[in-house]
Amino acid sequence: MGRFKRYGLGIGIGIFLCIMVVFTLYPIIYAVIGSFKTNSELTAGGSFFPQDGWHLENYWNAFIQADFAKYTWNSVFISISSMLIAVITSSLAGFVFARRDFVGKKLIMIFYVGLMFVALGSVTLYPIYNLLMALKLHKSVIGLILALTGGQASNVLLVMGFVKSIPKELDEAAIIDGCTIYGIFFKVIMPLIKPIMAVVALFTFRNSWNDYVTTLIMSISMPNLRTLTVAVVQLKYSINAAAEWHVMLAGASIAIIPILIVYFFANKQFIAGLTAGAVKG
Amino acid sequence: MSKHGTQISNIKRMRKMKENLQSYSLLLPNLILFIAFSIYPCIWTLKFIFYRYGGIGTPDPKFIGLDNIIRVFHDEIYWKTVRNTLIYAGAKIVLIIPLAFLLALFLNKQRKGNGLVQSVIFVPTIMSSAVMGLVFYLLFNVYNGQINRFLLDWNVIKQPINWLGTDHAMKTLVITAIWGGIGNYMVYFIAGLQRISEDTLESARIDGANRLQTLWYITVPMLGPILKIILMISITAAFNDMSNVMVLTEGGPDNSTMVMSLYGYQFFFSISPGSIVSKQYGYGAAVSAVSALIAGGITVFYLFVSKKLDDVY
Amino acid sequence: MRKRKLLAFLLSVALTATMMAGCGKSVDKSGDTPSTTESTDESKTDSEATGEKTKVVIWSKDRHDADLITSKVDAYNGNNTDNIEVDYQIYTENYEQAIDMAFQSGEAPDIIVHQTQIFQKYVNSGRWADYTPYMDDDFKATFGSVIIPGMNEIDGKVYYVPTTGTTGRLFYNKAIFEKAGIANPPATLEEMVEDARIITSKLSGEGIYGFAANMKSPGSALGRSLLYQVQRELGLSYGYDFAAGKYDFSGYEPVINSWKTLLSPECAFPGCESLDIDPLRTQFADGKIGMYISYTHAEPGVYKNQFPMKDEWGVVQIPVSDGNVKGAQSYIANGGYLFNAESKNLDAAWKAYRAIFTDIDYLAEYYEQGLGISIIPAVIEKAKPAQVYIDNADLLIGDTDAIWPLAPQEVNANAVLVEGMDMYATFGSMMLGDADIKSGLKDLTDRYNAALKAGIDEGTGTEIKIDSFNPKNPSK
Repeated sequence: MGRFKRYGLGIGIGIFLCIMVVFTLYPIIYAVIGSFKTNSELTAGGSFFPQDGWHLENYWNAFIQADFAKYTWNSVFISISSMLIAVITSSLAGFVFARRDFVGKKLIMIFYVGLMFVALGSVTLYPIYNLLMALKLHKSVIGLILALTGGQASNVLLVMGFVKSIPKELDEAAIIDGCTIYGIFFKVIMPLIKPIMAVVALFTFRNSWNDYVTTLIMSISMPNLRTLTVAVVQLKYSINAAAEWHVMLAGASIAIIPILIVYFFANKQFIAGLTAGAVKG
Repeated sequence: MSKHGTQISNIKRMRKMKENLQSYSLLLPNLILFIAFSIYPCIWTLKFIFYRYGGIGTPDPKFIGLDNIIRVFHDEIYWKTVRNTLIYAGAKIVLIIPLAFLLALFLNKQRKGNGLVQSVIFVPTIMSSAVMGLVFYLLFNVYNGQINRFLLDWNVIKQPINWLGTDHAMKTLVITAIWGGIGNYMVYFIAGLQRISEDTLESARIDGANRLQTLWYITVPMLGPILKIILMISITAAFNDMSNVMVLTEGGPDNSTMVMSLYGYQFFFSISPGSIVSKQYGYGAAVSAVSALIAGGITVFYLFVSKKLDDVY
Repeated sequence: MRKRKLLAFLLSVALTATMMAGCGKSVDKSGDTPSTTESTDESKTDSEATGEKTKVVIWSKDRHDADLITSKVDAYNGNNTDNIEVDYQIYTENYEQAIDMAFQSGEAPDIIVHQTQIFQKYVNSGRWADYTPYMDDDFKATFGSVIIPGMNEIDGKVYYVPTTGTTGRLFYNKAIFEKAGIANPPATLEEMVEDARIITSKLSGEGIYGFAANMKSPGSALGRSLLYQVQRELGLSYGYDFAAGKYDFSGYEPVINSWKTLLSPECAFPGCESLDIDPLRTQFADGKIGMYISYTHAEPGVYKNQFPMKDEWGVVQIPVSDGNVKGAQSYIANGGYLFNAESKNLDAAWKAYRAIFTDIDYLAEYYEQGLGISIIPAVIEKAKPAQVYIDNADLLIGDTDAIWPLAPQEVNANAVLVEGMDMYATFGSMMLGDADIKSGLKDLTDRYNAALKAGIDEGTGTEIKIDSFNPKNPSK
């Protein structure tokens, strides 16, 4: 009886997990398979697998005609740059907040924490654009990267929490050895906070790669700097010609696959990172 | 005070100053970004709440006092978007939290295949919600979407369901949001579960508690603190979701999926080339500020309530 | 193990990047690859290097004519003796926004392809250059007929000349009409509703429906249909009564009611409220939709190239109640080029424009290729139009079409800031939902008039009242 119940439960769980896996994978597989269909087949509906052959040339079209090769490079360059800036600046700031007392620290901390509750959303893009324009950065890739990186209050607090969990004695020993604050950071702290730096890196990379709204606005005046995500979605809005869903799906697949590869190599890190974020709060 | 004393205090002050400078030198790179991209936009928004401005090519910004705020309170569509946002956030949280919890519970054990399933469920969270919005359009549209075709073929429904129509668009949006977010919350819960020691569960079992009892009396209460954080994250996230709405429904039909953040956005930038809402930066700022107050208020209220609950238990 | 590998990888990436950044200004250089060729800078370096070439930058919003135009531009760049180099850039999406930003930062191009909203937005602040000092007699003779006061000529200054026109018409699938046993396309609004009903009731089993509209964005759907229909039906444009000088939506009631029926399940293709124009077109091409209303310039090309259509389609004037036409229908005059008044190369820009875009052979080719419907008499005379225009005369801009004066919110969108839903959103909720039509239209009239009055009081709007306004001849 108990055994029967147990098997029943096991089967129930199995079915539930199967449903969730199908639910998760279906849209992605549909997109990838759809990227091999013709435009008319896609827009007319039809079956799951392509009926009139696998159209590899959609990818050729996406890469060559729709310039996706360029957008892919933009995505890679911009995402990695913003990742580096985020990792460097937020770990330095997190370290300072965790370890040093300085004039105005309280006040600055209040702003960092407080702004996490104020979500003005995309409205801030307009003043940010104006600011970049005033700095003559609105026509350069640097402006876009900085806007994407943003203020990163949450990253700083994440690093701060992590540094606080490292015993202070290590710093003190280093001070006795004659290390400056810079020495402490680079020689003592940095090697120890690598896990959290990796977390910040991965999440910034993911956000920059996937971001739509910020990149859209910042690249309006420089369409050549568009990232894959923006380029794919903008295909939907071609004004005169008809939307090309097949190229769009090919583009979507091109956008999906690299991040999947990153995830494949770093999925433990992603998950560990999220965990760290949640536990530290 | 002796001469010697002032010298010491001078040295001390010098050292203090040097330490301050050192601290700031490390803080500065981030502080600059923070001021430029977090503080400055807030100040700009606060200022423009009191102005009327339609952008370049229109008259210069004009101070109009509280007119924009008053207009927000009279703007029926805005309050409809507030209601939509609350429905969206509420439905998303109510569905995603239990589902994620169940997934975490089933996948937490060290069993073959669990890691793989976990990784698969997590995949959507690394994808662009804007790009997937396009894909969901193909899946859900009424006339040739895969979902309707599937349901019709299996005789689940007789008539195609208008997934993106006025009646169902919000549900569809919530489904896609769950798709995109469930992996995150599952991982949070797994993190929480892993902090409960095996011993505690073991001793409960030895005391004769069955699975359900252990779950209810041990696991759930012990998850308390992390559950609070998870709920908090889910509230903030749900209030900020925008790009999925922007791509999938553009807030339509008839504003039935227009959320607060997107409503404010359209006064600054067009949602689609067909949109004819004229640029109103001052009013947009007012809308966003009120929205931020509502979202922030709910978060703070939640924190307050959960504190109170802690006191009771 | 894996963790460590990843860290090593990330760190090495970080290291290489910092090294790169360490080597002088390499960040800037690597940024160059993806960054857009900065026109102003480049023209500077160009002129410094060769000391002669003048660069003229043109921004366009169109992709459909890009092949023809770029070939002409390339030819011009190769041949011209004035040492002018034209840089033709296409900004299909966010065109308006891109121009706003360019003006804001003082980096606007020399020439901008005309678009009504953009033109109106900046014309009052003197951003566009006046054509008149440049116009020679030949130019005046060719384009005189399209220089219309109130449209492109304001206070004696000419800001652009359109070369093509587009407007809304009813497109229908001949095979579906035949199958449903309907002999002729609808001539009246009543017939249109009836035909849609017949088609849906007879053929919905085969997945064929009578009518569709891309109501995902009511502004896009109704701006290409209802706007023109009401001009014909009531002699009003955007609900504005030019004779009375105020808004009046009350007369819309019967038309909105007909649309409500057209979009109801007894007539309409399912899912109209979430339909974009392109999915609609594919369904039309697939023979699933009996009729819909759209622009004349775009549809022929779409069914020839993008979504090849098996069935034969036809086109007729937008039907009105009892066929009783009270007004002419406006058309959008395209193919004009606006000159940036602040451009430093106005002379060169004019030379390039004159040579490339006002050439009769080019304009004839444009028309013949079906890229746009010509409104220039000399071109129409010369060109051999594509067969589709000969077969479907209603595609052309004709006697029933005229240029309308601009309604207040067209003159200045910021002068008529309506509280609550705009007209199209309101119509959309009446047609698709159950908002009460009569009281809704009354409310809409009040809100628009209040906004108009507020705009005039503010000084942003102007009162527009035309005595003895005749909607059948609105440009007079």
